[in-house]
Formats: sequence, C-alpha cells, structure tokens
Amino acid sequence: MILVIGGAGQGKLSWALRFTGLPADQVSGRPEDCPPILRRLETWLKTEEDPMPALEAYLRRRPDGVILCDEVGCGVVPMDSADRAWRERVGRTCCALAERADKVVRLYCGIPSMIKGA
Amino acid sequence: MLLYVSGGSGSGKSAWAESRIVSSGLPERIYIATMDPSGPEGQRRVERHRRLRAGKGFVTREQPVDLPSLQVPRGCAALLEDLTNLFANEWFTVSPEGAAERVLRGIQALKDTAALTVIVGNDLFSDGLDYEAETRRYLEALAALNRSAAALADGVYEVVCGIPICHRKEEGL
Repeated sequence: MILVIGGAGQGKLSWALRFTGLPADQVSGRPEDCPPILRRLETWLKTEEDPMPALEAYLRRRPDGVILCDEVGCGVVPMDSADRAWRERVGRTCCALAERADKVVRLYCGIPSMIKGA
Repeated sequence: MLLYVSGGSGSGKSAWAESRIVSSGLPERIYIATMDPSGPEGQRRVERHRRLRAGKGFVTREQPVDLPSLQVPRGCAALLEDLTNLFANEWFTVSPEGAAERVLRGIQALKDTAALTVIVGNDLFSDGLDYEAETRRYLEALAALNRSAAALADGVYEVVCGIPICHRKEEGL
C-alpha cells in the first residue's frame, strides 16, 4: 500500500495517476468500492468514527492500494469539538496507515517526497 | 542538546518526542506539563498523554506558566509539552507583553541545565482561514516564538503520520 499525503491542492491525485498509470475512473472516495486509488480519505473520515475495520477490509482486497489523504491537522484548533475530533482522527488514521504502508509520499507544490520506503 | 519537534494534530509528534527522551538513555526524565486539564476533553487529552508516558520513568512537573522559575536537575532529560499551551497561558493569563521572552528565557535555562531537552510545538499556520486582528496578532507571535525556539535548537524535526522529517540535524547524541 502507498499512502499519499499533503495539503489540499498539492497534486496528490495527479501524482497517483502518473505513478500508477491508471485512468481516472479507477479512483473512488469510498473504501467499499475497493478502488485501486482511494482518494479523499479525510472526507470519508468525517462520518467514520471507527475507520480501521473498513480500511482493513479494503487493504485485504487491495494490498497494493494507493490511499490519498489531505493533511488537515496544521491549522488553528477548531472551535467545534466534532471538528477537533475529526482532525485528530484523520491524523491518527494516517499514523496507523503510514506504519503499514510500503511507501509514504508527501506532496508539496506538486513535488513528491518519499518519506518512507524511498 | 535541544531538539524542537512540531507537527499537526494527531501527527505522532508526542510519541516521537518521548522516544527521543527514552532512547537517550538518560536516567532522570522530567516531563514538563503545561496544560490546564479543565473540561472533559482536556481531561481525556491529559489521560491519553499519561498512558503514552506510563512506564517510561518520567517525573511530571506542572508548569503552566513561568518556565524560568522551573528548576530541573543538571544532566537530566526534559520534555516540554507543549510550547503552544505554555505560550497561550503566558499570553492570555499573564500578559501578551513579554510572553515570548519569558518562554524563551525558560527554554534557554533548560538548554543550559538539562543534557537533553525536547520541546514539542504545534503547526497551526496552514488552514488558510482569516482570523480577526486579535487572533492574528496571537498567531503571529506564536509563529515567531516557534521560529525563535527552533533557532535555539540543535535539531529541528517535523513529524508527519508518525514519520520524522529532519529540518536541521543535531550533531552527537
């Protein structure tokens, strides 16, 4: 599995499509669709309080999946407690995924850095 | 030796900071706690950090303000968690005037006394949102403090998804 992270609009999807050579119809934001490229994990996490079982199931079917997630934890602490919980959940989920990932790629202004498994 | 580590919410920066203290092998470990654990969420955060630290041999010192008054044993390992809370307490409960200087004086004292100090900061500056003037002033002062703390540090790290990214590599240790 490859985890691709970075701020919004940094070129994660473009990189993933280039890297895999897959067409854009191989991308989905829902783990249950089991796409080769799973994007917008942070959006899916808004309504998933216990995300790991569904992600484990995804990874069993797609051990070579490419998972894209926005980094959302680098702003001012949100006023709303649900927003705070979501932000932290995105961070912790990415920590858990990064630990099992073969590669972790961070996109910055369209430039990839391999921060794990270079 | 002074290390500055930062990262976003849930990035794994605390776990990394603790592992640096533990792997230093220094037997005397001081945890400098800055948070006022009021309210259920504050309690939960404090509890979570206590669980993370359990069994790692830390002695906890509560220091929500006035870091320069803290005395730590010479040659110890000290973990300051975190800079944002300490600064917010200085700024909002003491005075914005001189808040950063007070914090930096405390950091310098730790650097002079402890064999290893690890300071945990926070990245709050990338949400692209507009804030009112008061908040902006606070955020600018906090960002300036982070830069000053990093300038004092031998090593500067950013933790992303639990992975440390080195921005300045310390020598030795």
